[in-house]
Amino acid sequence: MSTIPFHVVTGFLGSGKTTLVNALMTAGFGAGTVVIVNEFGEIGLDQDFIQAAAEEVLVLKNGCMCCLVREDLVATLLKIGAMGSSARVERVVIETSGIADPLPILQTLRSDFSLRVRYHPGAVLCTVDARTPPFGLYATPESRAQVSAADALVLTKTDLVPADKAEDLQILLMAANPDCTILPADSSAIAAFLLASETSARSRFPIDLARRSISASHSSDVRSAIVRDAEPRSWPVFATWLSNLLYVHGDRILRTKAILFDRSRDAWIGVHGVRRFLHPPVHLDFDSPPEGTDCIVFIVQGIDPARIVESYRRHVAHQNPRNAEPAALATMVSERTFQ
Amino acid sequence: MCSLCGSLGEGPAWENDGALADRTARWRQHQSASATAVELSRLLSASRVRISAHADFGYLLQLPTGGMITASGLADVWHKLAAAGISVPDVLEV
Repeated sequence: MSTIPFHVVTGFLGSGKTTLVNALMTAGFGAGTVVIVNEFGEIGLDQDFIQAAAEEVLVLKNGCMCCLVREDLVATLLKIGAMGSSARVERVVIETSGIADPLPILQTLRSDFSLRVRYHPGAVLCTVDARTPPFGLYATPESRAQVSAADALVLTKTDLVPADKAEDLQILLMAANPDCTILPADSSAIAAFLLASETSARSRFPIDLARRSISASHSSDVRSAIVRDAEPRSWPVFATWLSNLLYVHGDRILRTKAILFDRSRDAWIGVHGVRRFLHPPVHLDFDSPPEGTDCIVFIVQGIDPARIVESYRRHVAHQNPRNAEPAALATMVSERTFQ
Repeated sequence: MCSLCGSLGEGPAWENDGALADRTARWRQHQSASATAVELSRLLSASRVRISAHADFGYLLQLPTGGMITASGLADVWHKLAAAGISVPDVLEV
């Protein structure tokens, strides 16, 4: 059964989420698209601003989607899924409220079996007002969560600020979320990004994080750990370790990416996680990955990367005779300025 | 289905690609899940929780009180244990 991709559009209050969704719908992305809008207040207005270009606009009111109205979201998605191909639903776009954390929404769609067989994750877009002061990115837990969960950050209202200020903000955003793509507020570019994420999670691979300098700016404290072990001897041990790590420390592990080799299947596997949310593993179809990218990368904030590497060595690597030499296992990249 | 999919207990190769109809895929799935259940039980031995793989539900959690709960995948195991009041180990500490 083919599954329906869902995208999440998030961003802080007034950052331009509805304007972005509206622009996408009028730019030809609307056919076959169902938009679900979450409004925190009792009276929803946003759906009135999203033009009728979308196949359907549904509103979830009276609470935030990431907590209070999650059951409503499940019920709505099940109804859409049940309509099947007869309803010509090609994708679902979920616009969160301005104070929502997008991760619980993704987790709901992955953990609910009836949704899991009908939907697959596309991309998380986060709109950021270019007028946001540097401290504003970290002013609230919600804004931090939104920026860190995004696959792409869309800088809005750039016409209202000097070009150098927008560039400074981009650098800060890349420091806060080194794995993301920064897109202009251009509906065709954003639509292309969403379409690429729909067709396959392969667009997220190969990773270049292992070769990229990761910022450790004082404001973000974002660092990375690279575990250079592409072939865990025991997959059950590795999977148990990874899932426990993300469950316990997921709030501080912004991204997990890995390209690993499954010798028993003679195949490369791509792993992509956002905080506690782990995307389904991607079965990559290349003979060998680009040099230096067969590894596990963690982008962390507020946690010492060395602890993760040491834990891997203790729980996973010690079972692999190939990794008898600890120094060969890990490289940590930190305290470098983003280029 | 790759080895990691089998251990995580969820993934597109299981549900979305019709692989459940493939006996080989089902066998691999169960092998991976069973091996993961053994590793989980080892990690949780201090809590006296026993985990086994279940062909339909993913994982079956047997609590010290005798209660049984199901988890849809590996990530769900930790959520269900915490909800049941079981102290979840931390791989950074143990």
